[in-house]
Parts: sequence; structure tokens; C-alpha cells
Amino acid sequence: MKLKVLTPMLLIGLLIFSGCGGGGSSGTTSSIGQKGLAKIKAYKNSGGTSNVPTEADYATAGVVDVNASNITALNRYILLLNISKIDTKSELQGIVDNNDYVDNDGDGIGQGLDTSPDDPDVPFMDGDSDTDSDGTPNGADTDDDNDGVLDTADAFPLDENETIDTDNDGTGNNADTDDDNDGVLDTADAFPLDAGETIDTDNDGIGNNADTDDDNDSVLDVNDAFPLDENETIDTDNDGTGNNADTDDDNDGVSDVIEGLAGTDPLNALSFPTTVAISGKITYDLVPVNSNHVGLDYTNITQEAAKNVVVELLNASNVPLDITTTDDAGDYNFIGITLNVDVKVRVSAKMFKIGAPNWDVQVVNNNAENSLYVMEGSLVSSGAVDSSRNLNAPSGWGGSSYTGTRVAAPFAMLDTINSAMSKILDANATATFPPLKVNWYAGSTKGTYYTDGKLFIVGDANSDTDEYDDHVIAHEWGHYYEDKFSRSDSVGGSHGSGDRLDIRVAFGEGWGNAFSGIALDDSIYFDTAGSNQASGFNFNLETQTQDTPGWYSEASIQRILYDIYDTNDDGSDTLSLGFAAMHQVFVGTQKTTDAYTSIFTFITALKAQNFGDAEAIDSIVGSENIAAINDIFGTGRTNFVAPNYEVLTVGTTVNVCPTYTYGSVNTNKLGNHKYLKVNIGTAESYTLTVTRSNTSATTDPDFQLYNTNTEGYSMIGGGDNPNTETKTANLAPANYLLDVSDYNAVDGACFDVNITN
Amino acid sequence: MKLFTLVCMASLLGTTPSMAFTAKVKAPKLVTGTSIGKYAKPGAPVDIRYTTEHVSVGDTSIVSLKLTSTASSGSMQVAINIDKSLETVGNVPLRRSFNLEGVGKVYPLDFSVVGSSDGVFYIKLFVEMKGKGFRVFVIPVHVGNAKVKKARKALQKNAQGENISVSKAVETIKR
Repeated sequence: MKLKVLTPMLLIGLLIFSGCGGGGSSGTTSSIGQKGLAKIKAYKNSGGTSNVPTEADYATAGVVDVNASNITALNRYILLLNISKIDTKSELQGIVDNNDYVDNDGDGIGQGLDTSPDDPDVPFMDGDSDTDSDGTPNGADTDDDNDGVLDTADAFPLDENETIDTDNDGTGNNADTDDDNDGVLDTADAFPLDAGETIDTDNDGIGNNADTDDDNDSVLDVNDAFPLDENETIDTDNDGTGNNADTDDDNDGVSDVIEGLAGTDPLNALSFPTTVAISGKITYDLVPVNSNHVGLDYTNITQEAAKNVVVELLNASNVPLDITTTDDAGDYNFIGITLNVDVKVRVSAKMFKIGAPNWDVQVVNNNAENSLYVMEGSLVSSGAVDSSRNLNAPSGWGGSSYTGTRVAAPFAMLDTINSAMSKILDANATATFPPLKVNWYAGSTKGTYYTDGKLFIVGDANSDTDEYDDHVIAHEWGHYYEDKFSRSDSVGGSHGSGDRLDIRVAFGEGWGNAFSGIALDDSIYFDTAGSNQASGFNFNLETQTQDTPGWYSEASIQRILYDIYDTNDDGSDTLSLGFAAMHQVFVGTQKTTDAYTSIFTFITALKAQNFGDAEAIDSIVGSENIAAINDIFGTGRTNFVAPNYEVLTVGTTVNVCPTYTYGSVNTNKLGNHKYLKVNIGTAESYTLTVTRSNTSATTDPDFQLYNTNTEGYSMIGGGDNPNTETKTANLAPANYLLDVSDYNAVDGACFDVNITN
Repeated sequence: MKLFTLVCMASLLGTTPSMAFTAKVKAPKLVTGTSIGKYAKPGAPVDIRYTTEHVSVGDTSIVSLKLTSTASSGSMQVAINIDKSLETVGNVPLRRSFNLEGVGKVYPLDFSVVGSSDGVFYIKLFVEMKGKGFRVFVIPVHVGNAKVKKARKALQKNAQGENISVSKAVETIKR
């Protein structure tokens, strides 16, 4: 049990009281008695720390029967008493006489005060309370409500739920909904204990009243039109919307973007364009292939950007007011258009650019005088404000058949060509693309092929139409690339993946297939056809099974070339050279090679340019049953009809025998053509003759003499002359390649070839 | 560089005609053509040579189609689609199948048709080889006055003087 200590003020009060107290005793006796009482009270007031009364002191005070056996208990009892209970000798004597100080139950409380004098577990005196019921009377407890805050620091020592009353309104902060009594509820008050602050906009710990930059945007509040908005500081037109969010800062009716394009001041209401802008997006309907790559999926048509196409703004007389091209998102923009004039947008199926790089690609209707396909919007006023006009080329699909004009077709083909061109631009950002004309019309059955700067694409719905067969388009564009950027010696003709082809045809077609995958970064080639374009076929450049792998197989070559390009390591392919390395070969060595263009010329040059990858290249080539290639003529081949080049010198005769083991149709199969090398050292007139040397069957020998220096033909013997073909021409000194074949494809026929000067 | 020799190829002129009179062809003229020697996209290794007879309206034209292939295994499926203006003579199977037997083998398709009006009408063959792709061949059959052409709307020109084929776009205008 702890005893409370009396405060000095109380002690002073007691001293004053005792000094003024009167007594009925004689002067001396009374004075002595008062002296003894005073010491006892001093003891009491000290809390028992000083002036401990002795038996003599009690005697002096006139109290008898205080002796050694009871003085200790009496003194302890005195400390428990109210000071008013020991004012007089008789009150003290009464305590002694009544044995009030006796503590029978030993709980420290004399029986005169003990509420339970015989119960040692109840040490309470009359009037004692115990707020927190911790067994310690409040009088002796330093934390009456047991809330962890000492009573001396507790504004509510008897309320365990409260300790602080910031605003001294008598309601503790816990119960108080406005602790600082600033009129803002604590729940909305950033400073609930600070009557001087309620908001901290920038959460910097400084209330807005004290903060000089409330939104912490580095512009002082005094200079900030939006001191509480860190995203805004200025409102030029005072419309309540800051300049950053305002699309027309000066409120002159012309958007800031247009003002920027027009060069007027977007912050000056007196500065604005006197014209309008017309912008928009050009798209076309793309009909995708089904997920199994067989047939077109007309249920999932998407609108795709028409990239780099020519867009014109025409007046009512179809006179162009402006011309531009779309960007890679299909967006176009015309500015400076006179207000309120009737105009329309015309989009040509044409990609055109001058400078570096440059190109000119257009899609024409070869059933209507090669007219350029265009689509137009409506003739509508340019208005007084900027506007957008988005144009989409519809597919014409009516749900179960084509019922409308197939406007999208030319743009779909251009988009594929744009992808193909992008691949070249990745390798050469300043490439010059020779003009290309794509010939297509709805209903065209004239075949899909490339020849001399022109693509011809079929368009016969329900039979065969290729505008959405992007790999087919890319394949044919690959021929354009080989022809215009490099060199192709292919003799053309129909071909199939299982054919053993003339090495030039095999390479050209294998390249076309590989490039379709390269251009589109999609290894699955597909071609749709049939009723509603629901049929077709496909093959995977990576996984197609080869019937007859080898250097004469377009299927082998397409895989080799794609594997050289792609980043996918599979089987023997650990190489990822990308397109740039291939492009360097095509525009370099392949273009001037002294042999016919084939897998041999390409791989030889590729290995020379990428010496460190030679082994990996050999691995890919080897996986197609082709021994390592180390020279442009394919020297050392012994399988099938080896592409041996005979050497023809001036004044001599060489005998050659075309073969037809692998077919004669198109005379583009392996063995149909014989190759010779001719070196001309002196510039003069030469006569080249090819004559049947055996058999009685009628043959029709043909030949072509090709100058590898000038990349052109110097002699072509292609007449219908039976058994003999001859030509005379002036030849420049150079290495020439001579191709000899028999148009009649007479099996077993051989020919003497000679050249004389 | 691409050089090759084309064999005789019938010109594909005109479209479906609408004539008030018909022309009498004195004697059938042979019209021949082939896919051989022409550039071609990737597809089945098959080519065609054909002969049709240019006859008068109502007369019979013999159609002789000869398919060739270098493939020596598997089969070749042929679907024949004949223009409605051509009536077949007798029962002409419109679907045929051939087992492929290799280089030099010819797969013939012979039948006759009768043209009901002047013009050039087409027989279309969809030839498919499993695993090797397909090819479509279009064979013209000339009947009577085959050079009849549809009247064509005059072409517009653009500012550069180029002929243009104008189509309507789907347009969305926002101000």
C-alpha cells in the first residue's frame, strides 16, 4: 500500500491552522502541549518522513499511555488520519484510549480506520475508492484508471478511455469529434490537433496556411492560378481550366494542336488560323485466314491502317487542293484548308515517296485500261472548325458472298507489300525501290505471278483470288526484289515443292517462299481458294516434309533461307543471321556472280561474308541433303543431274545432252538446260551455233548467252529453227554464261555447241 | 531476268455478252492454250494443255483437256465448274480423281458443251493434290460472236492524267 504525500500548500495551511488554534490549558502547560501537538502534526504533514514523534512528544502533548509497545503503531496510524483528527490532545488521547491504532488483521490499517478490521485482505479505510479495481485505493494509486498514463499526466485520471483534451472543452480527444475545436471534424482534418491547420494538399507535412506552395509544383501560391493543383499553374483564358488540360488555351475557338500546326500563337486569342485542318485515318477491311490456315474467315474482318498511301483533298471540280501520304498508323492531315468550301478526300491505292528512301507502288485495274484504284469520301464543306474524316475501304462481303465493290482488295495487297518493303528498309534505310505496278481486278483469272516490275494477282472469287493471301503476295514481291535489287536467272514456269527443278528456278521459287515468311515474320505460308474462299492449302517453312530434298528443290531452299534468317533454333538450325546479312549478298555478290543464280552462288557469298558462321550455315544446308557448298558452280555434286558447267572456248566445240528424267514440261526441270562458261578475251564479232548431233527426231535448240559483267543478254537464239540455232553478234571481253536447251525436249538428243570469231 | 517462250494462248476477251444477233461460225476453229511456260505461284505440280472448238451458238464444242504432272505418288482431285451458258453434252462428271503415275503421264478430260449465246464462257478446273497444294485453270470456250464486249463507263482521270477506277469509301466525319 502506498501513501500519498501531502503537498507543501497543505502543509503551510496546516501550520497556519495550528498556529491559530486555541486551547483551554494554562499558558505554559498549554504552550508545551501545543508544541508536542505541533511536532505530531509536522510528522503527519511530512508523510512520516520527519519529525517522528517520540513517547516524550506525546507526553509533551499531554497524551498518556503512549509507550514503547504501541508508539510505532500509533505513529503509523497518525499518518493515515486526516489532519483534522489530531487537532487536540483529547482527540489523540481518544485514539490511544480506544486502541484505534491497533492493527489486528495486520493490513496496515488501524482498526479505528479499517473498514474490515479483521480482514487482512481488505486494507481500505472509510472513503477510499479504487477506480481501476486493481486493489490499490486511488489515494495510493499513481494510475487510477490504469490506462497507462500516470494520473499526474492524465487529463482524465479516472477515465480509462481518455487521457488528453487538446481543446480543453471537457471532452477527451477520443470522444471528441473535433479535438482542436477548429470547426473541422477530425476525420476531415489533416491536422486534427492543430486549430490553425486543417489541409495539407501536397502532403509535405506543412499545412496549407503555413505552406507557401500548397501543391508543391514549385510555383508559389501567390503566383499560381491553381495553387491546389500540382498539374496546373496558368489559365490564360481564365475559363477555369488550366492550360495543361485546356485544349484551347486562349479560347479563340481553334485548338492548340491546330494552332501549333498552323504556326499561330495558342496563347493569344487574337492570333488564330483563318483556315481549318482536315485529318483522319485511312483503313481497309482485312479478311484474315482461318486459324487452321485454310480458307478466309469473313466473321473476323478487322480494319487495318492503310500505310503510306497517297491521300488527296479535292474540291468540287476534283482539283487537288493538297496531297499527302498516310503514316504507319494510316493517319493523314491537311492544314490550311479554306473555311467553308466543299471538299472530299480521295485515297489512291498507291504508295509513293521521293527522296531517300523512295518508292512508287500502285495497284491498277488491268481490266480497265490499267486505271489506278482510288476510293473517295463525300463532297462536304470544310466547315469553320477543324474536322476529321476517316475513310475505310470495305471488303464488299455481304455475309455469304461478295455483294459490293471489293474496295479493300488493292489496299490489302499494298499493306503486304509495305511489310515486305519494311524488311528491306530495315537493312537499308535509304533504299530506292524501282516502280512496281500491281495488276488486279475482281474476276481476274490471269494468274498470280511477277514479271518485269509488275505483279499480276488473281481476283476470281469462288475460284481463286489472292488479295488476302498475304504470303502469296509477299512471295511474288520476293521475285520483284530478286529481279530489281539483285539478279534472277530463273527461267520461270510452273513448279511444285516435290519437283526437281533447274537450279535457277529452284532458288528463285525457294527464295520467294522463304521471303514470304521473312516479310511477314510468319513461317506458315497459305493460299486460299474455292467456293467462298473456304479452301486452300498451307505449309510451314520450318517443318514441311521434303519429298526430294536437295539443291534442286524449292522446298529445301525455302527452309534453308528461312532458317538462316529466323531466330528460332530448331534441329540443325542454330543460326539467326537476320535479313540484313542476306540483303548484303543479294545486292552484292549475287548480283554479279559469274555463275547462274542458285543456292550455290548465294551460300558461297553468304559464307564469305559471314566467315564465322560458315559451320552453322553448312549445318543448315546439310540438313537438306546438300553437301557443304564452297563454290558458286556447285562443283562436286554427283547426285542426280549435277549442275556441271562445261567450258566453251572460241574455236572449239562442246557436245551437251539435255535430260528429261525429272520432267520436260516448262523445260524448267533439272537437266533440261545445260550450262556452259565462255570467256571472250577480244572484242569482235562472234558466231554461236548449236546443232543437233544425234537422233533423227526434230529438235528445236535454243540458247541464251549472258554477260555477267553487264548483267544482260548478248545473244538469244530462241527461234523455231529445226535442229540448228545460230546467232552472230559483237561481244565485249567478259565472262559469259551460255544456256542450251531443246524446246522440243527430245529425249536423248545431244547438241554440238561452238563459237567462232 | 526472266525469259521463256509462250505457246499459243487464246486471248481472253470480253465478258458475258448480250447480243441481239448471233454470228455463224462456218467451221469449228480450234482454240488452244496451256499453262506451260507461264509464271506461276507456288502450288501443285500440274500443268494443262487444252483445246476447245470455237463454234456457233447451239453447236457442239469438243473440249479436250490434258493434265500433266511430275508427281509420281498420291492422287489428283479435279473439280470442274462450267459456266451456265455452256450446256454439257451427256453426263459429264464434275469431279474426277486420278492416281498420279509420274513424269510423262497425261491425265485427259474430254467432253462436249453447247453454247447458248454469243460470247466467251469459261470452264474452271480446281486441281488439288493433297500435301502439294492446288492450281486453278480457266479454259475459255468461244461461242458465236465471241468478241462482244460490255459497254464500259468512261474512266475518270486524276490530276496527273492517270485513269482511275473510283469506288466509294465508308466515311466517318467528325467536327
